[in-house]
Amino acid sequence: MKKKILIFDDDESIVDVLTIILVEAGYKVISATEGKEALAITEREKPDLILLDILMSGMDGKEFKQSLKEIEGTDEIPIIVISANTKTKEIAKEIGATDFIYKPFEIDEVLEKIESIID
Amino acid sequence: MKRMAAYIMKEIQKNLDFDYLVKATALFYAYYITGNIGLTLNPISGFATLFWMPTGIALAFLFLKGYKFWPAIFLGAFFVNFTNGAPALGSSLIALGNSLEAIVGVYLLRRFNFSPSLEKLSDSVTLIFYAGILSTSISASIGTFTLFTQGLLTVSSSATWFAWWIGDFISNIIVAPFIMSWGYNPKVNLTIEKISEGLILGISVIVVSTLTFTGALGIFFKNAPFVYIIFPVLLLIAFRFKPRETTTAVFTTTVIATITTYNGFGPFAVETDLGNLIFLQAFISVIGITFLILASSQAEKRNLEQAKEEFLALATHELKTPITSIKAYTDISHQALIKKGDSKNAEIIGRMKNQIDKLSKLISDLLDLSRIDNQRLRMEQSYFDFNELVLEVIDQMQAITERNILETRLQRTKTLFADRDRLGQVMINLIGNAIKFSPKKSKITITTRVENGKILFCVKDRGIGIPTEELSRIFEKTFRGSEKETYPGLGLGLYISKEIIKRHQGRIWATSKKNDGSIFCFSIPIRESGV
Repeated sequence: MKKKILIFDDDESIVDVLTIILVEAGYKVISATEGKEALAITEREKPDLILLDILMSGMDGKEFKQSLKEIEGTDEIPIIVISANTKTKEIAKEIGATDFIYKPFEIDEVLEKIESIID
Repeated sequence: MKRMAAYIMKEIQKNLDFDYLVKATALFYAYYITGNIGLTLNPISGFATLFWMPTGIALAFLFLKGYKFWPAIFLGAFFVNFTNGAPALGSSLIALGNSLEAIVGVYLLRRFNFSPSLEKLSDSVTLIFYAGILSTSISASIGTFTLFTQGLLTVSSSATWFAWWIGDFISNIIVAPFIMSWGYNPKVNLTIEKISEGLILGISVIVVSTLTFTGALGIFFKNAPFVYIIFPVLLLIAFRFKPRETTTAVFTTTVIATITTYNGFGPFAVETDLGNLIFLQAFISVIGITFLILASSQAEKRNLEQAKEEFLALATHELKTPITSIKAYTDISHQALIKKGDSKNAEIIGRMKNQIDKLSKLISDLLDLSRIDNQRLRMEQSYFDFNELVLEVIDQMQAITERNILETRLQRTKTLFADRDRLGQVMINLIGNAIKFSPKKSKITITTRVENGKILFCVKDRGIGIPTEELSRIFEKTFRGSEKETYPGLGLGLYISKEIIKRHQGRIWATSKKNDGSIFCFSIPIRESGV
């Protein structure tokens, strides 16, 4: 069965390009550009992995991760933080993410990190 | 008289609550006590004092806490004059002048958008002109008129007016900004560096002022007029600290100078019709105006620079998002074209990728630059094998250049505790420069060595070389050399590299002769644990 990945980023072009990459690589992709939508999808779909931006307008990555704790069975979903923020590494550690990727990223880097977590 | 007293009582009752009473009482006593001190300093015609602190206290208090405290000023002024021998009517009139002076001063400051932080040049100019020069003439005029009608003048009315005015003027440009700037922002930056710097400069102000104005320096030369020695000290404070610290220093100098001169010491202690403080006060006025203006324009400049840097940091961060998607879209097309076997188009898209990588490196460099300027360049240290990093970087660089052959002479190195990514960035910069400035197909040699507890990394090219006169400047920000027309780039790479190496307590340098290639090296101490 195809593994399911949620992309949550408020920039549509990032969501779009990651979707193309991940679908090509054989994953099922769901996406959200807004916090409530992202939480609802997570609860409903229970993805195998979440790609999470940090600095977002509206609900940001930290708040999102915090909210997941209140939804049953979602707190354990592995998260890869993917951000242009210079403190990406520390933020990833702080919110308990499994890994992190700096923007701009290399496609291979994204795929390798995802594979190492969910395959 | 009675109606006036009744009116003041009504005003007080209107605002009567505990908080108001406490503050009003504090203001009253501050006014009364400093006023009494002022009246001991040889006042002209009995009441025109050359250093009248209450005026500045009143202005600052009303500005920070509101007009409603004016009755405390009125009462303070009344009792100061009354208890020092002025008749009741005269004391009331003088007190009225003093209250009006503060109220009009505050009104004018508010009207012209004055900020007590004094962090704009316009703040200083507004304070000097409206509160310093204009509002004080109200008090001087009413006061002189009162003394004249009461038959208390001992010198001409114009001399009395001038003495009264300059006493209030000095107070509003020296005492008031000192109180207002601290009252507005009392937060202190408590780093050890800043505290020790402040202590050293503060002690210097006290020592230099004391030596100068007691005439202690006169033991070397009689009547030595060494008053200008205070200038470099105040100048340093204006450049290194906020306006409130500068106003503190000027206030301190003023107090020391006034006390010593009044007691007959120092270069300004000359008896005149207007007592012995008048030459000093002229000097103090010049210091007050000069350093108020200097401190605010420095603060304004610093704030603008900081805003510029913050904008640069934000802009570069925002630029990264579109770059990320453009880069990824391009990569996707590139891979798709290769898969289809369309090598011609794949090559074109490949070139596009290279340009995007360049753009993305430029943005990263700008971001690094703004971080260096903001002192926010962070090092994330870990243990790693130095040569492994070197080989990784060389692989990466060889992949993007076919112009040159990268050869290596690596001596066995130790495990290092340092920022791996940042050192990689320095290597990329040095090797990238070597490629940029070398003729096609020439060799570039990369060596590593361990000596004297240091790791040494060098890149030797066979390129155009660097003229000797430019060698010392190539690590400066935005220095690009005389051949800049021929070679692209912002010239940030070496500057950023130098900062990174500096943060590792290392050294970076270059040796070269024109048309004979260059060698760029850095060395960093090998350490077991954190920097």
